[in-house]
Amino acid sequence: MTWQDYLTPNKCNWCSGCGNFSIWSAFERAALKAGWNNSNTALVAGIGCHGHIVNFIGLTTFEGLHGRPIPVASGLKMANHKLNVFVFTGDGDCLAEGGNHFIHAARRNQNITVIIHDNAIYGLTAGQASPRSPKGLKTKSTPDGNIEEPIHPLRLALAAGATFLARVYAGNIDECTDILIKANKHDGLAVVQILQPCVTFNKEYSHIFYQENTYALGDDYDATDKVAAFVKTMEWGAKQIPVGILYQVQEPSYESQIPQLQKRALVATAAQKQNISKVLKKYL
Amino acid sequence: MSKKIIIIYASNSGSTFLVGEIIAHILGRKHQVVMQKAADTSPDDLLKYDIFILGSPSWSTPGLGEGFPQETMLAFIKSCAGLDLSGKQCVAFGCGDSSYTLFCGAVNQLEKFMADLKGTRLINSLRVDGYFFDLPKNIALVKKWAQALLAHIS
Repeated sequence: MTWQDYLTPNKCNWCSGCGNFSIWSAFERAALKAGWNNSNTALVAGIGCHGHIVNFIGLTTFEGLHGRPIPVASGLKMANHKLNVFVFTGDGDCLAEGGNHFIHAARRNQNITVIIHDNAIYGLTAGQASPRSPKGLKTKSTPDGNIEEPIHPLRLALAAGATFLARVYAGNIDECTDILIKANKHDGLAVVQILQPCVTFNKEYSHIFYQENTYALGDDYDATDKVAAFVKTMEWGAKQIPVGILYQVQEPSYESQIPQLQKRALVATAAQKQNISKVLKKYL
Repeated sequence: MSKKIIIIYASNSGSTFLVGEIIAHILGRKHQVVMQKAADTSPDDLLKYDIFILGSPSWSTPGLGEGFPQETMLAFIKSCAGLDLSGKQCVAFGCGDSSYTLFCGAVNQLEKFMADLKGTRLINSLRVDGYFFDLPKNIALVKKWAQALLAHIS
């Protein structure tokens, strides 16, 4: 495939300067490098500005209900576990409406990649506080400042049992590309929190904020150390936002533990016909 | 003769970075090209190259107004005050959105900066309108410009 093959006729409708552009670019680069195509890959998105991404990538895509892309992806993966399955979800979509699904996906360790477009705001509905909005942020729903503490998705996922956790700033397209490929290669649930500035409704977490306040984890960081990962997920603030792979361990994926999936994918297994006349006679 | 070229860029949503990559790829056919973030560049770096190319998106900057280079490029420009780049060749590019008042205002600022340092402008600057909104058209535009630049340098 070439980059042109990933284009669709749909015109982008994100605001100029939106962090979603670089996530889109990074995903298509990763797809090109890793060979993700219509015979081996499916994408699922939730509702929000992030969800538009499926309209701009020339791969098989589904857009679910608000907060529900993970269950759709989970079903897809069960039907055909040979597929690369990606979930695009926003911080509101994933952590508010879909919080329950996110926790259990982490616990279940299905082999899917969850990409959180984290702009810490509800952008599509024009700027209400989300579960990631920082305390004190003035939004249309919190005109006197947000009084709630934000959720930290990687900490939440780690506590719930996720086996791959990464964070990257959207504007670093090369790093983002690399992380997406590694996340997909991971055999188990991979969570990638992409710090995605909303240039229209969240003036606090701007591009320059992330450019100045993120730092790359060093080579001496041990991503298999769960306690160290917890400590890293606690870091957030001026010059104190770690990016890179915060945690990665190998545990059996959900699919690898289901005997029926070991020989072939369910989608490749013909349905067995059963004669149910005896049962019908008994009960009717 | 192969020349040493540095592309110094600032980028937010990625368009200026991606445009810089296309330019680097085309110029790299005949020259040694390095791409570097403005945030990672010191004024002395400019002295090591024959040609410097500056790229920035245009943003509204607190205290300055609309149509200014991205913050890290502004800081780089400030750090170069007093530098004399006579004899060096240069050119600018930028991504913008013509629905705003000052389309690619940052490119005007970069042109002024290069002139202030006594750099010699190679060709007219490149201004890209809504890069992501029409990728085939804009990528073709960037390639055409980079090829013209390559021909001019060679």
